[in-house]
Amino acid sequence: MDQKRRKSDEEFQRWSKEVKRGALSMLVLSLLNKNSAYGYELVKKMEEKVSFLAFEQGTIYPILRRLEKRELLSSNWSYEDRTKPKKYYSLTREGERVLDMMVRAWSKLTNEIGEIIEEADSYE
Amino acid sequence: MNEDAMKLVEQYLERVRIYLPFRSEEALAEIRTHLIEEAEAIGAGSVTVDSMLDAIIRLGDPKAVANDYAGTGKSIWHVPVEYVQPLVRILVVLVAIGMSFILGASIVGPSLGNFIGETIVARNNPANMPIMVIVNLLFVLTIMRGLPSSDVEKGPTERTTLEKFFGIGLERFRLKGRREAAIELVTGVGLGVFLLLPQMQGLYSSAFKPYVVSAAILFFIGAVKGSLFIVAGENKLNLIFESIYGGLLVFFALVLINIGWPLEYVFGYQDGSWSLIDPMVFIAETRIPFFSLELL
Repeated sequence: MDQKRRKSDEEFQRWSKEVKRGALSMLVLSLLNKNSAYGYELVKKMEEKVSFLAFEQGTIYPILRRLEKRELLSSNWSYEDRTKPKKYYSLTREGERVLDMMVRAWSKLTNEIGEIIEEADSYE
Repeated sequence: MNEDAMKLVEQYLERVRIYLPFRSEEALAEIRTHLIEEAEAIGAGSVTVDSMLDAIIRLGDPKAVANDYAGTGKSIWHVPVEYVQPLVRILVVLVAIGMSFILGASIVGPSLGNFIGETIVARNNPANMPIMVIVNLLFVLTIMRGLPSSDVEKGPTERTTLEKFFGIGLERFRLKGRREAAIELVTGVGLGVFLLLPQMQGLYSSAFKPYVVSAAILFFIGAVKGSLFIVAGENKLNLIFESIYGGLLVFFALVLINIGWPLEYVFGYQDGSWSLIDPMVFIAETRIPFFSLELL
């Protein structure tokens, strides 16, 4: 019984990892849509708002770096507090366009998935 | 801010830095800010050693953090793809140095030997050195695969056994200390005197005997070098002296590698008294299975 449970857990972990991978970039872009923020600030916002995407703190920084490299984000250093220099990220025009497309695709996807799950439930 | 806590941050960042490409200061600054703010949040506004340790543990293993930051996450035989090319370059350089040494040992070594001592003939089978290099590389790889298991209990700010072994991590380039120089002085004098002891003269092989005095002189020069560092600390003159001494050691090694095992006898305790024993005879008489690379 335990073994079956463990296998199900493993399967679920694998699936959720794949979902998270795609969702994290969209979430980062969404959080930066209106206001710029620095890495730690984003980590905290995400920890507060999203429970499903329980992630390791270090994973946000590589995402920021990748999105900046792809020119979806731009950044500026703030040295207001010399002991804690902060790198503020904000969306570029390209980033806004991509986020818009992502949000539309995500809403469509969740609607369609919702309908399929409802249909499947009604057959039971 | 708590100094000990900040020391922990620097130790952690130093370990992350090892696995990051050059010029990653921005990444390190970002991680430093993250750790300080997280420690402040955990410690309700103040940074303590405990809150900093918690913050570090939450951020994760330095290798993983660095690889996430700088890498693609792909690896070839446990080596991140980003590091494969530099590693191959290092390997090529090491092989080139090894080949040069082999060439030097078989061509330059005997001529230098003639200059210092007596005529010697290159005794090495040219295949010995490459075989020994390969065997030693296999040992190193086996040890490297085994060592990480000894790091399981270590925290993220502590250096791994491999990092300590290669001297990477906390210690950047530093001046030679007086203690280190004192060790050089003592070992130089000690080994030089040891080589010249009358009791030792009967042990050396006939091929090594002409070089004993030169070897002892080299040890004494090493001791002089140590004493110079003790008296005047690290300065340009001492560093030049050290480089020349290093060159002399390499040249002497080129000679020594051609004269084979330096001892013909060893002391053995037999029937209540000490006597000279020929190890080869001893091995033959006692039929101890002996494996030599020269048999390959």
